[in-house]
Amino acid sequence: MNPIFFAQTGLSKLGVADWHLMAFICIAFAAIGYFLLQYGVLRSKTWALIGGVFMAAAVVMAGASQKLDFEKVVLFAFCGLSVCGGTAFLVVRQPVHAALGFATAILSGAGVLFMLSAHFVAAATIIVYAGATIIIFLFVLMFSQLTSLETYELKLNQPMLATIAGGILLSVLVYSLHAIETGEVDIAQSSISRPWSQITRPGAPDSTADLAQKSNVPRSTAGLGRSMFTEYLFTVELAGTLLLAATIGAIAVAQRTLEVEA
Amino acid sequence: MSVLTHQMLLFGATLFVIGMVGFLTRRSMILMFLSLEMMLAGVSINFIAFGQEHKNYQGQIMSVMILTVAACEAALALALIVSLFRRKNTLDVCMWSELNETPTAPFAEKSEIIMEKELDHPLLTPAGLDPSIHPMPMTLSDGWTKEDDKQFRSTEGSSHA
Amino acid sequence: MLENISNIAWLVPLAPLFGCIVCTILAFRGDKDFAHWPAVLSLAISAFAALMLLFNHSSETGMTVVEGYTWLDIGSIRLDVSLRLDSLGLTLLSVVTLVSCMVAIYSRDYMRGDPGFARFFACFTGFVFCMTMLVLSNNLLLMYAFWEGVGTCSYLLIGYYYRKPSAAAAAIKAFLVNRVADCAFLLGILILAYAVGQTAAGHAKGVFGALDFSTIHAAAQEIADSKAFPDLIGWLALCFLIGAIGKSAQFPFHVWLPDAMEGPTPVSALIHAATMVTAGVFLIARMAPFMVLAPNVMVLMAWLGGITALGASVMALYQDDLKRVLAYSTASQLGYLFVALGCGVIDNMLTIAVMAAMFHLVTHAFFKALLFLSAGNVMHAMGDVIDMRRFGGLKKYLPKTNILFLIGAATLAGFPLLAAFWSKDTILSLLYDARSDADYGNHFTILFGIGFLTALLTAIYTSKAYFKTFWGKEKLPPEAGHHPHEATNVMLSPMYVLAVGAVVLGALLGPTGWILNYISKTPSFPELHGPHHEPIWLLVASSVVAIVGISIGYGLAKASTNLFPANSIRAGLADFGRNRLYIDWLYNAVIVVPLLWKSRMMSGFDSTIVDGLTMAIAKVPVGLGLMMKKFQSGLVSSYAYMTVAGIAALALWVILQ
Repeated sequence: MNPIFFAQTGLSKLGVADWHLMAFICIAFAAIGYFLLQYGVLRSKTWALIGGVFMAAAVVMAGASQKLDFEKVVLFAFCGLSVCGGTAFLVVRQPVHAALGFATAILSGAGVLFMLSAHFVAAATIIVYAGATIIIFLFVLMFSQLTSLETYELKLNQPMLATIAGGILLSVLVYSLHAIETGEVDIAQSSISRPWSQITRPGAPDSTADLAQKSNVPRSTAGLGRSMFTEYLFTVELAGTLLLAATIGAIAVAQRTLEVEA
Repeated sequence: MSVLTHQMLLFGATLFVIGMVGFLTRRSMILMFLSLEMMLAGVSINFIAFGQEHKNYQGQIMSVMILTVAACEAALALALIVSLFRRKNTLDVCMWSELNETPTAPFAEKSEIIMEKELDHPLLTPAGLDPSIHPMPMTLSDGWTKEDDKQFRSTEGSSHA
Repeated sequence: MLENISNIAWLVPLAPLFGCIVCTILAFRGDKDFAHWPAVLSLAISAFAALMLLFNHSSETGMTVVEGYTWLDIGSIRLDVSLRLDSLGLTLLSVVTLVSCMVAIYSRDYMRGDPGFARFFACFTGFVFCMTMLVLSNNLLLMYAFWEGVGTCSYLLIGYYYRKPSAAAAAIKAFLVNRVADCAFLLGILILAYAVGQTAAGHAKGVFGALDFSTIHAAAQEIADSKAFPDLIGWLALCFLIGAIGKSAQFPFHVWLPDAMEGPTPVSALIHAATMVTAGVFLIARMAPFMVLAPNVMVLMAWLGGITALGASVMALYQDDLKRVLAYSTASQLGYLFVALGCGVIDNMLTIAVMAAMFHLVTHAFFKALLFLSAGNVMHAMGDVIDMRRFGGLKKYLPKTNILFLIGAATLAGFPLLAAFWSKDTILSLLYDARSDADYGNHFTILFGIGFLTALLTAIYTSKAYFKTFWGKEKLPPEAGHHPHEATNVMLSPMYVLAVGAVVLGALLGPTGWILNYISKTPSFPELHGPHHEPIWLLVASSVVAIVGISIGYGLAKASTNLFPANSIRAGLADFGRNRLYIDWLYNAVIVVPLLWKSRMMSGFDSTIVDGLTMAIAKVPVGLGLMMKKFQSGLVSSYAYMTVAGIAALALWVILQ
């Protein structure tokens, strides 16, 4: 029952969604849990990296079951890198290293978005997260004593339980995808997936179905911009207002603490 | 559902769960916040994938909204973290558990309390006690007096230092 | 003129009510020094109005009903608050208001400095309000309401020194004993309401609404003649009798009255001697045309009165507590009143029986109040010591009180020409007349003997108490201090008024026939048949009895306890008397102790089974809460775990649906 066996058999048979993949992911999470449990005792970044690579390989293999072209290869490489960064973020002890792992995961995620032709979103992600990450770096440097690690950075909060919970949730998500794909579950018949208009007014036209028929929407930033500022103008304005409110809120919160300090 | 969409959903789910595990295990508030951001990124990828599937811009619009919310959250969360850090001089999230009725022993063992400053803000009244009968400045909870608290802090703090 | 005078009838109850409200406010505010002013003023107004009504009414005949307002109007039940002014009520009303006014003036100095000064006057005026309404009410149900009202005020005043355990116990005892009797009274009222509604006279006024006295009296004969329930009138009369003897402390309900002396002495004087305890007599007098239709009950009443008169005077003979002597004496004298009322069973003697009872009631109110207030003076001087064995020869220290007590005691003893001499002889001559009746003569022959014996015993214990207290060797308790002081003039002046009443009232009302004429004008009482004569030999005999009794009492006081050698019959009798004829002991053993055991058992059942069940049920949510408490750790991660579990469960539900 070693994971390599699953990987090999999985490679030959791997459909778009297969129970082997689920088993694989569970085992990957068991590995992560193992490293998390050893956290702070074994000074082994290598083992941690191995766990990340293991998971990334799972994701890449999941995608590698089909015919590969260059775009796909790049896409899955970004995916793997992203998962690897996330795993590193999970298991390293130094907060600075964890932040680096986070940046890797997010920037690779932006690459994935780029490969999915969501250029604007990818760029925005890089800008926002890059800016945010730099700020967070500053905070980390400011708060954490680089001379020694604090207890709360060394000890984790119930790593075993967290791994089990994460594994269960991921298994459920993967199983649901699998079940929908294989037709075990007809999601269209499920009342929870029906549009609200159909539940309240049976027989009303399905707006999402209508939209799906309006296919061949041009995949361009220009189209997105047009859509944002015509169809979804209100949403954008709302987002702007939210940002303004958050700015004022952040200033207010920070200032009040200053007064308390004084 | 196309194969690519399916794979991207898997990828998003993985990212989401990694962020979730990070949120559950990490005790540093900043890293917990980063975990949250990672979960949001996973969700964002989900939306993009569905947008590709349906060949419209709704997913991307949603993604942009998520980015906006993430930015707002970053601003507010960091402000909160700063103010919390100034209170107790630590980023340990276990130090902020006043919603708990009694500081139980297992918890106290788990986190070494580092508090240089006197706890001078009002405490919550334990549920089921009349505030007028049990004035909170005197008791943290049933049988837990301020002297006990001081002693506890001094022993724990010295052992840590 | 009559119209105008009737209008001031409302002033009689409402002035004390106003005083009560003012005193209550003062009691809550803590301004206690001048709380006697509203009380005394309102009672003076009330007494003045009552006397106005009395004198103006005497020139007229019949009765006046002063309409008030409708209290209840539910379907066929209609209860009007209206006042009935007739000779019977006004006689008692005048006594109540006058004596209460005098006692209120007396209390001003007696109660001075007490922390509950305003509370005392609030209860006091509240009592007078209830009592006047009881006397004036035109409706049996309204009368019952205020009947309970005076009971409540009595309870509050007996328990006035509520920190004293004996006072609290006495208050509860009085309340409970009265409750038993009042249950019967209420039952009687309810059945009577139905019975009256069935008669022709009552039916016109609705099924339950016709409880005013005129209707009851009109319907009485029809109820008595009822074919369906021939015994009903007897049971109803018995119910009213039980209510009356409960309030008037007659055997077997007499036990609460001696204990009620735990209250302040002015309260004992007013409520437990002069006014409230006469409410039972008043009830029977009010209902006399109704009661007389149940002759067996009337005879039973006479017997109960006779037993109480004799038994209480025996008990009074052996008491050492001055106030208890007076309390038993009150029960004994009230027994006389019931004996007198019982004579009404004989044809054509109802009116004169009621007159005799009311006459003695009036004189008794004056001289007994006087005696109690004198006892209060003694208590005041002796530092609240009232045990006669601990003081003696007080006439040197309390000369004025000595004279006043002497007047009261001589009156009570039936000394010739004083008030009780006349009123008691009216009753004795009534009994003498009743002796010759064909049906009930035998009963009244024995009761006549009991009456004379009681008169002798009364003279003995009264003079014994007087001589032990004021004569003999000087003896002072340490509580009194070195120099006991005479009461203040404010305390003495109302006693002079009462003393004058005790001396002249008998001669003024009795031999002149005023009270007889006055009472006989009460509507629905039968006409008088011929003048009433008192045989001269009876007067002489009772004078001799009084003087002999006083002499024996003097001898007993001098001899004190040495008179009773151990193990003799007389010592056994003394033991019997001191222990209150073992009646209290019997009640305790038969009623109180079994009830206590039963309630202990019920309490055990309650605390183990009922409470245990409840607590067991209550422990379920507590246990659940303790289980859930573990999850409420206050840590952010623990809440996040729950969120994750929720998300996973929701996703599974969506998929597996």
